Amino acid sequence: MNIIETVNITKKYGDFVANDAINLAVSEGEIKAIVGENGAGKTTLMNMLYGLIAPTSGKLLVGGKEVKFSSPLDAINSGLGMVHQHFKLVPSLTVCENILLGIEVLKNKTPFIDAKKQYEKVQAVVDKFKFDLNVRDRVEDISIGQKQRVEIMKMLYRNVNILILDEPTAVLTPQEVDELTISLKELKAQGKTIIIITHKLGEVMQLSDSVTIIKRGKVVGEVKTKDTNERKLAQMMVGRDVVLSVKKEEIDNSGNPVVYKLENISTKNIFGKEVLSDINLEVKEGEVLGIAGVEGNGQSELLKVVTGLMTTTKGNITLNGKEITNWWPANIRDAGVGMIHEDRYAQGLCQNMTIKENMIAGYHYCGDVCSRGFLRSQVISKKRDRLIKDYDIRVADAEGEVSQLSGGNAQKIIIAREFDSKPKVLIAAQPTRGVDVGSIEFIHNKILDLRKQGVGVLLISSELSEIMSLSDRIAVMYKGKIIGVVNQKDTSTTELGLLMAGITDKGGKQE
Amino acid sequence: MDYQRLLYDAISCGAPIILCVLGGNFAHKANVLNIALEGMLLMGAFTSVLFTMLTKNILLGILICILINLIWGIVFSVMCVTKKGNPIIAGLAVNMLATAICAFLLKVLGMANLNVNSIVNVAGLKIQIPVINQIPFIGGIISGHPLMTYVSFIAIFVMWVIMYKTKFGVYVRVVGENEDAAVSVGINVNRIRYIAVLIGAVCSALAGINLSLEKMALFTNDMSAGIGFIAIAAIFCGSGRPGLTSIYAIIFGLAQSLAINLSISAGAYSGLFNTIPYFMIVFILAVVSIIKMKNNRVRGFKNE
Amino acid sequence: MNKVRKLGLSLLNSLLPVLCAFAIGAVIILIIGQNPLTTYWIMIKNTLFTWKGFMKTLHYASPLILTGLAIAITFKANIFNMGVEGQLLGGAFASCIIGFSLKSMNPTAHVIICLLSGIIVGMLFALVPAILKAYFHVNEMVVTLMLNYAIAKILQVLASTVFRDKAAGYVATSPIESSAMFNRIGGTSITLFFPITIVVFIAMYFVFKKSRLGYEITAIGRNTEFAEASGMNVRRKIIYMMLISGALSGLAGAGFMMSEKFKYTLDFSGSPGLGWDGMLIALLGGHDPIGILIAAVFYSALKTGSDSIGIFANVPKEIVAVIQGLMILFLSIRFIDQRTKVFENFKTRFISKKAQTEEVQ
Repeated sequence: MNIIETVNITKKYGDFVANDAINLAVSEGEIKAIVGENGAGKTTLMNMLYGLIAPTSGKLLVGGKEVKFSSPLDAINSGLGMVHQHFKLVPSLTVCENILLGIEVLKNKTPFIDAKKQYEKVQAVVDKFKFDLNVRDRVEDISIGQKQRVEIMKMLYRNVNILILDEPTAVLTPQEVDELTISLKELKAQGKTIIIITHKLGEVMQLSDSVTIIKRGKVVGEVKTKDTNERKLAQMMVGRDVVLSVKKEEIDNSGNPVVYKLENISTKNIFGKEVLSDINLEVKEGEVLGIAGVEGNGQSELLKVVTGLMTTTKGNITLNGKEITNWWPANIRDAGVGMIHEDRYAQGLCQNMTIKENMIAGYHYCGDVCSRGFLRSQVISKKRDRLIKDYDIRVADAEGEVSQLSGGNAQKIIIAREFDSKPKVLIAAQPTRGVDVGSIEFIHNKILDLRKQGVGVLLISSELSEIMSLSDRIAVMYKGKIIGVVNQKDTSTTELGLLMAGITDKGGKQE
Repeated sequence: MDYQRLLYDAISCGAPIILCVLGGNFAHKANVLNIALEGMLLMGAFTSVLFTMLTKNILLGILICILINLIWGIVFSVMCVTKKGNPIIAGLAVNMLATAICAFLLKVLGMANLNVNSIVNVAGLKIQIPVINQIPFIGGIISGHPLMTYVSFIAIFVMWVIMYKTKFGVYVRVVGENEDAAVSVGINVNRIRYIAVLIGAVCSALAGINLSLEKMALFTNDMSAGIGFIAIAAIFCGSGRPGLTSIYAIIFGLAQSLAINLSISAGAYSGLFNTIPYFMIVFILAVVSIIKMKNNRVRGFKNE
Repeated sequence: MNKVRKLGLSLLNSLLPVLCAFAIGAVIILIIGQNPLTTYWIMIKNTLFTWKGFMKTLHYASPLILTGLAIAITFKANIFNMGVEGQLLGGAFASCIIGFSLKSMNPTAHVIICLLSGIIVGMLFALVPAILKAYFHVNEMVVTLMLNYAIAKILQVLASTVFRDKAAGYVATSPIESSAMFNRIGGTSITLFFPITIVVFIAMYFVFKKSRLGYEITAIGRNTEFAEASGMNVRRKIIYMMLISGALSGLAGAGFMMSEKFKYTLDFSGSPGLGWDGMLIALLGGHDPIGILIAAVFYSALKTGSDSIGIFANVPKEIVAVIQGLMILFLSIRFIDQRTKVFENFKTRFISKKAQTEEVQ
């Protein structure tokens, strides 16, 4: 029996069809995987199931009955719960308060909250599903894996029997992924239906019973997991035979001079807590140094420090032997450091400014585009047209704003801007987050080109596969420290996973 | 200087600020910058006197005043919650409109200011608290204030309970901290924001009543004198926490009281003392910000 | 096509609030028993449609153009300098003191010194909130609002004590020397202040539209994080913007003093004040120099015209302030945004209705 069914469900935004007549069937008690590239329309589909957006046309059936959700609350009441990729938690509230958000337990017939009873009720449910959670902790103090469990618990407490998880493994270490797998199997055993949305095919194979593949807003395949393999899935997902790795030339760069060096870099956040402690790194010419780690272990702060957006409490940064510690971003760029920021719509680009204006950001004071405080419009237009051509950026309207571009093309603007300045060192954070496979390949090849030209690259990424395919050496961050540096050739995902969880072979978990 | 008088005035001046602060806290926590407090306060001061004059009944005047301020609250919320307008501009518009409407109506009525001395007996509105008013020195400070002044101090506790012990208080904080979280569990974010703004509107109406009707039985055109903005400063200093913001409100009340009491014997230059509260607020705001930002190592400014 | 559409949208977004405000204003006028159409016509008849009246409008528009630009340059970057009013008063007062205390000066030198002193005082008054914001993240809005009250109070005291003109029957300073006055040109109300304003306007046009600073201001306003990451040093830019804003306000005050008021009185800037008018003008003009120019002239016409409605129409001239408040209120929202497709919506609605009616038939 199908517990969820969609009949020709469609979502249009203007002329753009995000979901085109999708027919999805999920049977009770299975783990269903929905896979597709970034921008294929997975999230749109799930948001429609969850009542966050209304379909343009088509029907949604839950347990055989047609339903129309106008808010997530309707979905929850019909037994459908969702765990979002970006957790919807309130940091200053406790685990318990977060779980009970919207369904607080009140002292009888008063508007006051009964705190004691709340703890008891939540604890009972946590025990029932054997989750490792302390309900009195504040959410801001717990780990990412635990936060995810809070999200799941939030739904279980509401007695949902269908659980949708959006990219559940994106922020977890390989070990935490295994724990999640166990939890999900336990839930399945207790009769829950689970839908996971992901683009990581390895986990699909490991977790699911059946797979639905979505491409450009359409269902292009539906298979039982046991009848397929990763390669076949990838082919269906992208539409061509892709080997999901780029070719990295073997270059012996071990003898190259060091171009970029961090010594004892430490810094504290606004609460006075040390978020970076004694970071020591060296990048040689023509070398890619990857920084791996679970998100939230200091990578963002490291990026801020090296790009001049945050000051240090201690330590030096040198470029070709010249000290550039705590310089302002403009001076750092001037000295020859290119930067790709982690969130392209926050620091990298300004969405509601034109492509032209974005093309010069960070280099707008340079001699060729600016003279005597005035910008030279024609020079900039020429530069824009050249970069659009050279970097194969697909734009509908070159005069238009960045907001019209897809994630991949927006990212290419940053790539074009930073690479065109001929940097000596490139700092690339999450360079391919949320972009399509074609652009990933393009960007990866461009980074490897720089490496070939002798540029030192500091690559910060939470995608382990990206780190593995581009880096020469890999440094792993854990709780604001570099917990280990390994050669890419001599390491494995397992070893990195252990390091990411803070476990070194020297024994025991680091605190 | 008469210290008893000074402290009595501090409580008296602090009361409208406290009321505005307490009302503004909810909007602040719900992430709506309610700088319309100033205009709502002026509106409250004006309408309470106007309708007391027209109806010859204080209670009716107060009731209509609160109703009118609720309408203002709704106008402000429609603009910046429903229509997602810029709250700073909408708030300033409400402030300017309030001033303009008061001036306009005064002209239409052909009066320079509104005086309801014949209906309202200011001295009679002062409540002497038995027993307490017998305590030497302190009795003269705490006792003998009009009703709204006492209400403002009681409200500190009431608002604290609402903010931290009720469902609504939790929702207000959730809406401000993570709107998505609120939406995902079906909390009606806009409704929470509306209520938050409306609480502010009612509180500033009470503050206005306190300012004009209760203390002076008189309305003059510029009588709000930035009290709403002072309240915003107190809210910023105390991060929207009822207890802490009220303490700042009392400090600012003390500054005003200092200005009043110092200027009594200062002759032509007495006006200079009136600047004390404003400079003090800037100073305190600066000190609080410097302390908050002491450990900040991130460069740049947040998108607001 | 795209550009035309964009321009059309921003025009609509400025015009609709104005129309709504006038509509509500009309209701208010009706309620007090007057005819709104006659009232409005009296308001603009002389100020826009007669040569002399229009010159007067331009004359009064000069300080408004400057305060509009002063507001726009900071608001565009999401820095809310509410202190334009105070900076303007400070600038005016400074030029006034220089204007009456330096005797028998060369007129050119005197005028330049007066204008400069106004500009410098305006900048100094803007520098305090700028530094507090840039270095300590102190909310600039509250600080500037508080300083406005403080400045107004201090100037009031100064004007009624040390600098008081004992001869005047009300609180006012001595009038400035004639060497510091701008003379009227060709029998109209226009003085040299208007051409000076236009020169400053053109300079500001280039700053807004063509300069690196203009680009950086736009970026800071749209996305501060991006601006900082792109090496724009937002802290330093906040100081620059506030200084420019203060200079424009100070110039507006000094110019208004030297071309119109000639002495500092308590109602120098009127109610709600030229600085606050500047806010309406900046918003109405969409923070765009050309828009500001048009808005300033339009609003100046209303304001100067409002004097005659009190005389000829029995409507208090305070109605203009009410309409001004309403305009700002409606300008706080976007009536139509980039994505609303006016014509497409209309088309689909029209077509589907047509289809329905056809079906019925």
